[in-house]
Amino acid sequence: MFELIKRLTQSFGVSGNEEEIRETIINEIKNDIQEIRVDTLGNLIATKPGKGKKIMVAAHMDEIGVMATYIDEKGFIRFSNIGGVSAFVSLGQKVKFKNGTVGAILRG
Amino acid sequence: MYLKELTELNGVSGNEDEVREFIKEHIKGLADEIKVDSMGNLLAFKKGKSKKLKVMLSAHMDEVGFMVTGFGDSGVIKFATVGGIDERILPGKRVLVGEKKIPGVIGSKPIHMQEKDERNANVKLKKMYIDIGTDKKEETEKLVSLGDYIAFHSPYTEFGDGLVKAKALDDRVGCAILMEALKERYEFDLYACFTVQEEVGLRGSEVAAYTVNPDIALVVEGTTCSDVPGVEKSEYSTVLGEGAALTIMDRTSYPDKNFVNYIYELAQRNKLPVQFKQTNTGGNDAGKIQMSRSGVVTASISVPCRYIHSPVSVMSKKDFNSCKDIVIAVLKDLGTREEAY
Repeated sequence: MFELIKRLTQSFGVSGNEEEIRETIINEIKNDIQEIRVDTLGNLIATKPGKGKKIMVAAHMDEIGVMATYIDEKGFIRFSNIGGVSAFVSLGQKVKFKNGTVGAILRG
Repeated sequence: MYLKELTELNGVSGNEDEVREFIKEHIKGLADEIKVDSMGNLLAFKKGKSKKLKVMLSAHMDEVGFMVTGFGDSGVIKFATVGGIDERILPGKRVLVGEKKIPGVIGSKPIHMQEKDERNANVKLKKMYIDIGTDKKEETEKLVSLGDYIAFHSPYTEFGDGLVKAKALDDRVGCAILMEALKERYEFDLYACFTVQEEVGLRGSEVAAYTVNPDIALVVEGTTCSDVPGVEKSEYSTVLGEGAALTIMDRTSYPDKNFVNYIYELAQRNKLPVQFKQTNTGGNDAGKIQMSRSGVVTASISVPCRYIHSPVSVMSKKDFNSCKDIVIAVLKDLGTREEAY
């Protein structure tokens, strides 16, 4: 169980960029579920057929993060938040870009 | 090209009739079917050679402005804003009131009559009024009714190196580009939607998108441009003269990344100036269209406008042309592809 949480939390999935976490989930459930589809917005919908009423359980795949908005002459990256990100908590933290590049948040 | 005519028409949110009538008149013969829905959206359908794709182009007809909320004893008009307006820019501005377009000016207490603390503070909207030159309440009431809309008065002016000053560039630029796009014929079914009430909560587009039920939507807008003194380069939303701006993310939508990148690359291949909007503030009809029904592949492309939502919005003709050319290039290219994009 906790290994699963580890795999899920280690996957990248900042809002609007849920490709990696979606793949992680598909890999976890594909052996048990026949009907899996991804809609226009990127939602992953897994259907387990049953009888009677139709029930929807929902959990969001995306997480908060930041987005690069400008790169200055010295190579420093400016960014804005995606979702509610605390500036105080962010300072000094390591960050990982979608392409794997690692950086740290510093005060200018 | 009808940018001058379009920006000089008044279409404060909820009162888009003048703009709608103008567009309707000028796209007759360019569309196969023209409909006005219950909200007032103008939907122009252009039949394609194949049915494999339904594309929606969207631009809003409405603009920010004001509404009459009351009358003062001396004949002045009290008013409320319609849409997002920085009230600090208002004193001294010229306006046109109601359908009769009665000229007026926005007034406030003169500086030499202000107390010291008043001088140091911004004049509040509720302390402002519109003066239409009458001196009795009864006289004003004969000319103006409660609920009448009020628009900025600002003639279209070209100046500088290919720049344009006008009111309502947001989003008459989009309307003008849609009108141009309708002149061409495409492989697929195209709906050019001129929407209402964007500035008061993206209302018209929600209904239009439901009606059209598109596979792909492209929103054409006027967007912020903050390349001005006092703003750091890293804080610029867009830069005037550097081409049409593609939105990566804003407060209302996270456009389809593949579609956005496809547009960016297509523009570059065609040597059409294009930039990404750097900030993620603001929002537009894309937010509602993207979430219509079971989701729509959506992107926004905009003409950068300095001093947006003011009577002196400024754009570059170069950016306008690049936006128009990119929109038409996308529509042409979409038709030639097996996959959507």
